[in-house]
Amino acid sequence: MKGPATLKPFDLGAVGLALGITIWSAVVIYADPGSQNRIVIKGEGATWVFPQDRAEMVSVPGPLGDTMVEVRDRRVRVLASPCGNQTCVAAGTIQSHGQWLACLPNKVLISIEGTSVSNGEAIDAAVW
Amino acid sequence: MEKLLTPRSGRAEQQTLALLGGFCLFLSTCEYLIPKPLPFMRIGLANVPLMLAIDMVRFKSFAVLVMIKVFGQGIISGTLFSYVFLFSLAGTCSSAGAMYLLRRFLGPKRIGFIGVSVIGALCSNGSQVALAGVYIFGAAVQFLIPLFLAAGMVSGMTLGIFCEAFTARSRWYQAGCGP
Repeated sequence: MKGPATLKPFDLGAVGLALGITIWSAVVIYADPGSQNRIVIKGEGATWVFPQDRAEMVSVPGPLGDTMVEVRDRRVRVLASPCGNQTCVAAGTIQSHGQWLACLPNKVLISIEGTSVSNGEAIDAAVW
Repeated sequence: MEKLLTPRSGRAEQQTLALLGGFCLFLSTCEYLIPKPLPFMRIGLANVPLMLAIDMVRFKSFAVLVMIKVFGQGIISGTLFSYVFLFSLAGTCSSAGAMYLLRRFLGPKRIGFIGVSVIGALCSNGSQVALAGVYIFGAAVQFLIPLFLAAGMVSGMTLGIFCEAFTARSRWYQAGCGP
């Protein structure tokens, strides 16, 4: 019986490369949460952007039908979706910068982004 | 002479291909039972037969096995006739190509299944995130990248360790790699 698997020279290089890219991408993407978070909901051909402290119920149209997104108490969740697997609904709520929810079949992506707004200016619009 | 230079051929290769193809379908079915946050975000269990096949069959049969995996997964998950299938196709083709080239050109003495698997996962997740960015989510796809890469690295290392342990003990595998 042979012993446990041993790392070969290019194994170490491969793992190091993957680890480096992963850490670098996390630092670049998640490092600057800013002073105020905003919620970005991207549907097919439309994008909604608003502050995280707003209470909203958004109906996002997609190729399968409407995905219902609820924002309440600074938490975001997919309330209902016309997709078959319902993984977006089962994913639960998100509330922190960098977190996301997605429904690939209905082409909906919800993310919480940090902003540099610091003087009370807040995005309060639906962008089409 | 290295094992890689003497893969099976003829009827023995066909039998190996059929067995590995069956494993791909079985493992795809097992994976379908595991909940996932995105339809195209998989552990990659069905990549195990692909990694084993690199040393056991010639490139033509390896390419056939890749197609068996892609179309099998599409049929099992019900995504064959949806655009989600393109994600699976892109991910599998890019990772299988990278894994095959790395293992065949560097050889088993320089790179093991751990390195092959981690790079395969990196290519698969990278190509799928790129597709999602170009065709669906746009720039917002950036938030998926770190999680995808981290998950791919963990699952890639796990599958690679399994393959190393399996190939070190399996007489079937060692016989399949030729004399």
